Amino acid sequence: MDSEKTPPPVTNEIDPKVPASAPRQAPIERNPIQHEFAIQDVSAWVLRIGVVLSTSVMVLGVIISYIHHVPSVHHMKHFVFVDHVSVIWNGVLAGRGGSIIDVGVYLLVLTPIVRVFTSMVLFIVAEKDYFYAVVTFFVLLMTLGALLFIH
Amino acid sequence: MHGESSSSIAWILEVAGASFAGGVVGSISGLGGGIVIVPVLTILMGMPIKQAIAASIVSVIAVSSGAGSVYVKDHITNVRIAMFLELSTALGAIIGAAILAPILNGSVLSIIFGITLLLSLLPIIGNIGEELPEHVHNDRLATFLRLNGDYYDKRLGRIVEYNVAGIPPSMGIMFAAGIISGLLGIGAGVLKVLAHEICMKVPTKVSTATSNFMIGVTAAAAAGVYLHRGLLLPYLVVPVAVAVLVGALLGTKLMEKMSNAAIRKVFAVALAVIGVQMLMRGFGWSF
Repeated sequence: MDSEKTPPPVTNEIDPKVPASAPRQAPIERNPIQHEFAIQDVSAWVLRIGVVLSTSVMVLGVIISYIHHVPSVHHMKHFVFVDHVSVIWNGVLAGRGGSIIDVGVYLLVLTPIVRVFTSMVLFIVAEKDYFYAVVTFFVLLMTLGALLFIH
Repeated sequence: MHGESSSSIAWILEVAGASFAGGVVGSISGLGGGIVIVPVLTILMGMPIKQAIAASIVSVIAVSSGAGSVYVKDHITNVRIAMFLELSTALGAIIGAAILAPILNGSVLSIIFGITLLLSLLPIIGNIGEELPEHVHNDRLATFLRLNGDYYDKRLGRIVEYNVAGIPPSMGIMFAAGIISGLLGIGAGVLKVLAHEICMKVPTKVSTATSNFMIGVTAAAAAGVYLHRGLLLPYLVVPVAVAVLVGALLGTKLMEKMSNAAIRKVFAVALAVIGVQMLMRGFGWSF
């Protein structure tokens, strides 16, 4: 019964494990540093896969066009990217090197956009940080909007 | 046939050589590959500036993704700064590429490019020898956005903690960087590094890595315009993308072992040399 009457030890308001008698820290000027290792590690993989895949496809396209016909410097300086999904797709099916290069270019352009998308998902799922998820969503929206709709 | 093949291979190798150098310099300095590739393609190889810019936009994506994968894995990149400031940059890039680019010609673009680079030299030279910024306090936005961070510095052999200042002016500079990036296809790492160095006052490695991380998204936003206008030459883009990527991966190895002060010197020299080159081209004093 006596033990119940003894007052509980006085503790620090913020951290109960630290006694109040401990020297107070000087006012903290620094925010606690936040890390988002999940986002960083996934981003690193997305970027790595993106660059390796896209440049491999591009090199394959160049090799194929060299097998078909050696392009002249003039051709290389003037052959233009045809920006139509159907044209690129038919070209890939026909095994045209130029179209395969185009696919590689698109894969490269999409790499940072996929990275933004996975960051957005991870801000929601891993970090539960909805403010940054919204920020990332708008970055994604503007980037896709520019890529698709500005002519 | 044989002559054609060897001359086309020689052309590809020339492009690849310039792009490799662009990748090394671009990944160390956070400027993207365009800063070397655009002047080499236009001044030395006689390509029209719009096609050179289109190729360099692709190179920026390759450098940003290739070097970015290393800097992010090593936790040098500040993901929160990058995401928050990408908002203003993406908006600026859309406006620059869609509205301003068609009404400006190559000479004007070159002159803007050159002046931008030379002006941005002044504040950098001011603190050229500084290793780490001191007495930096978070501003209110940086505190609210939890932007301060830390990274392990391989050169110093310790964890460096840093605060982040000056977010409002940085947002303005990032918006301008977006506009210039959309106009000139340089990824405008120049202005992004400057915003990090001068306004936010973060360590140079964090500037470089975070700027490098951001320029890929900006360039992807601007790339659509170049795709639609038929300015992307596939045979130019492939050697550029592959070589710049190899250069960028080498650059990351060098950067992580360099001191912050040395990286800032690389950045300053790149600005000076190419700023002068582009001004000369803009005014028609080609060499």
